[in-house]
Amino acid sequence: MEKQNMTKKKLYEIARKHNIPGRSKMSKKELISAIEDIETVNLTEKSVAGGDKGTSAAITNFPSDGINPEPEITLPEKYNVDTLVLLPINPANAFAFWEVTATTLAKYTGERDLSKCKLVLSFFISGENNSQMERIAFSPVYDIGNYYLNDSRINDSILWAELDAFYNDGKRINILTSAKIKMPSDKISTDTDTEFMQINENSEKLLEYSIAGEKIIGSGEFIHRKMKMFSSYNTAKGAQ
Amino acid sequence: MTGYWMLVLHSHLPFIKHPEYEYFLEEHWLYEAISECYLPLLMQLETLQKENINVKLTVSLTPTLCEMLSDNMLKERYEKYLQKMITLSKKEIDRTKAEPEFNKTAEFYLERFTTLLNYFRTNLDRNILAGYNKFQEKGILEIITCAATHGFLPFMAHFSKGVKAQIEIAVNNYQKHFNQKPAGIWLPECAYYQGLETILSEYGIKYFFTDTHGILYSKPRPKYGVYAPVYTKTGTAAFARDFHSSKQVWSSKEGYPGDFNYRDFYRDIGYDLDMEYIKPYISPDGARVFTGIKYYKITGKSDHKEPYVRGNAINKVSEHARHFVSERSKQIQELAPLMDRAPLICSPYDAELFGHWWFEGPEFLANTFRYMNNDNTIEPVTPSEYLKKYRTNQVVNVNPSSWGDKGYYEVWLNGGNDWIYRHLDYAVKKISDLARKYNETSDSDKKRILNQMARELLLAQSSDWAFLITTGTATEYALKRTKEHLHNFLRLEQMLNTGVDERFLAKCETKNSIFQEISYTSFL
Repeated sequence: MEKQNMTKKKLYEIARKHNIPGRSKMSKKELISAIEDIETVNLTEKSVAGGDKGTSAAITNFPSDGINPEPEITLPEKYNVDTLVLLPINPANAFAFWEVTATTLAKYTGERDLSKCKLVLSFFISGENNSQMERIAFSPVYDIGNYYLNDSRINDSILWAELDAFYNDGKRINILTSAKIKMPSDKISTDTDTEFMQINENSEKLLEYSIAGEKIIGSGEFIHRKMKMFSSYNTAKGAQ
Repeated sequence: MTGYWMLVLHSHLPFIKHPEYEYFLEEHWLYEAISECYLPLLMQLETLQKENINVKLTVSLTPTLCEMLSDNMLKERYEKYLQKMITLSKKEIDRTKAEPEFNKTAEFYLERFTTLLNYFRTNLDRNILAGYNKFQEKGILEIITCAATHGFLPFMAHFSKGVKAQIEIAVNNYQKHFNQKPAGIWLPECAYYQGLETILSEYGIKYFFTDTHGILYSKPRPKYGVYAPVYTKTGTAAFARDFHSSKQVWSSKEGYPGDFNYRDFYRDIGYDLDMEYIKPYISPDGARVFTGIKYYKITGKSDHKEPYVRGNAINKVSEHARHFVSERSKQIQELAPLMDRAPLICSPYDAELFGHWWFEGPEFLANTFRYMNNDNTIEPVTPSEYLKKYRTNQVVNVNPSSWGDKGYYEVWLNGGNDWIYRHLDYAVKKISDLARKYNETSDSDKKRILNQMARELLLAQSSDWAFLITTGTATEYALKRTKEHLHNFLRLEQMLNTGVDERFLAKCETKNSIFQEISYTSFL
């Protein structure tokens, strides 16, 4: 039963059981608050991993109606922090998100006047050791957003993103730069030129053996099996 | 002996604890995993040890799982759950009296649940981690750790303090539970990014695991394919999954768990029996759920199901284990002539496969060790033992990869869950700033708030939520958890300026009570 719906007398009884001081002078609201405080404390003591063994008394004081008492949570749309993050997805895809704060925007564009200047997101790749840097994609963007990059050239490369202010007169000023990411590769390396090793016929065979002559990476069954892991859900319909 | 086999079981569940409800559906993931996977595995190890079988096994126990297994409230609830299952089994024996083909199985369940309860109480003194640790001390089991809350490390790589905190907190937690430092780690979702080894080696972690293509696509080419570990630049070793032994267990076509004699996963009395009868054993709101009591074997590909016969299933398990060992032995004999060292077959699986999805899995593993004990071409090994024997390994750049669908990161980053990372990015940078600002503070309220912020952030980082959103399983719960932890984090952050809201803080501390030993300075 929710405490709000209990009589003051009943609440007083509970307060007496908990030995809450000053209970006789409390209003109904104060009683509820004092009881909840003490129940929370009981539970805290009890819930600590490896702590002393508690009793189940505190648990049963929680409502068991199965209804979520929490209101719907809305998270902020922006945080007012200059951000540009690039995350790898697979050998051909990456994801960027960014936020340029109003203050920063004003600094670069002057009074947030976007008619004289555009925000442009660009992606760059290079080989190992910063060799052969190349801009592979760019797009005008708003001050906050997400972008999915799909480009096979990023395979095995070093990839990063930059957010620049582009002015009408052709001038460009960098505002934000992401961290550089080593992108995954989807093939066996041709790099055999190293003092650690010598590729010979057997090595070829071992590579073939490792991949079983099939190009199967990751297990397709992975999702399938994980779903079944949680049996509380009847996944029978989707998983056959 | 001409080669080695390395079995790795990754045991993980996200931190799920709801003291605010007497019954909570998702809490049962833990109870089921304990009853079907963790305890049965430990009990098999007891038997194997008595039989003097050579067992070498690597098990990851994630920090979230360790914290749940040692949580007093969850332990108590687990015991109640088992008692309830015993009551239900007794009722089942009554109910099936006139049907001998089911009655025998009902009796099997009663015996099973009674044994589990007895083992949990008497042998383990309710301390499952001590059960694992016992075998670690005997040298037959190597317990490894995982990132603190199974956070997806490649998505934190751009802000390495976040990765560092996940590792540091995991190592401290391992120390708390097992009184020593972990030698190895299972990377959450097997997800590796280049550079991670720097942080791992700072914390004394000597090895990790990748999927096949983590090493296969490394640079330069791996001389031994995936049949020997490699070193990263820091000397941290990486072992890669062998495709063949995986397939034999997982493949929907040729995988063992699909054998018609094994117990059918879907037919469960939680769905099959009258509401009136089963009501006390399902969700209190009347939603039907799995109870774990199942009477049918897989039987065939159609909906027609026949009664489960335990004896037949156990015979089958023995047959499959023998087959598995002979296949590994063949594999070793094929590989050995190609190599100038003993080949190593590394077989990592989800621990929860064995017993939960594949009910007879723990018996399969035990029999595998028995047959291997009699085989003279292959012997089991742990990573630490192997690395002691083979100190020289090829140095490569391991390829970024995961064991998720398609082998990279898209399961955890796609149109359905990409929104999470903006918030996580804000929160991890924020707490790092705050850790610097309050590094020297002696204000105990502020410390409490910051420590709880660290817990909320870590819980929000669990890769499980993004995963569940992608698979469409428990999506609502996953969304709720992500938002709740981020929301708590933001509200706690405000408290640093406005003063403590004792009730809210205490509520967070009670419910999200993971890592009592935590210090927000891990984010420095």
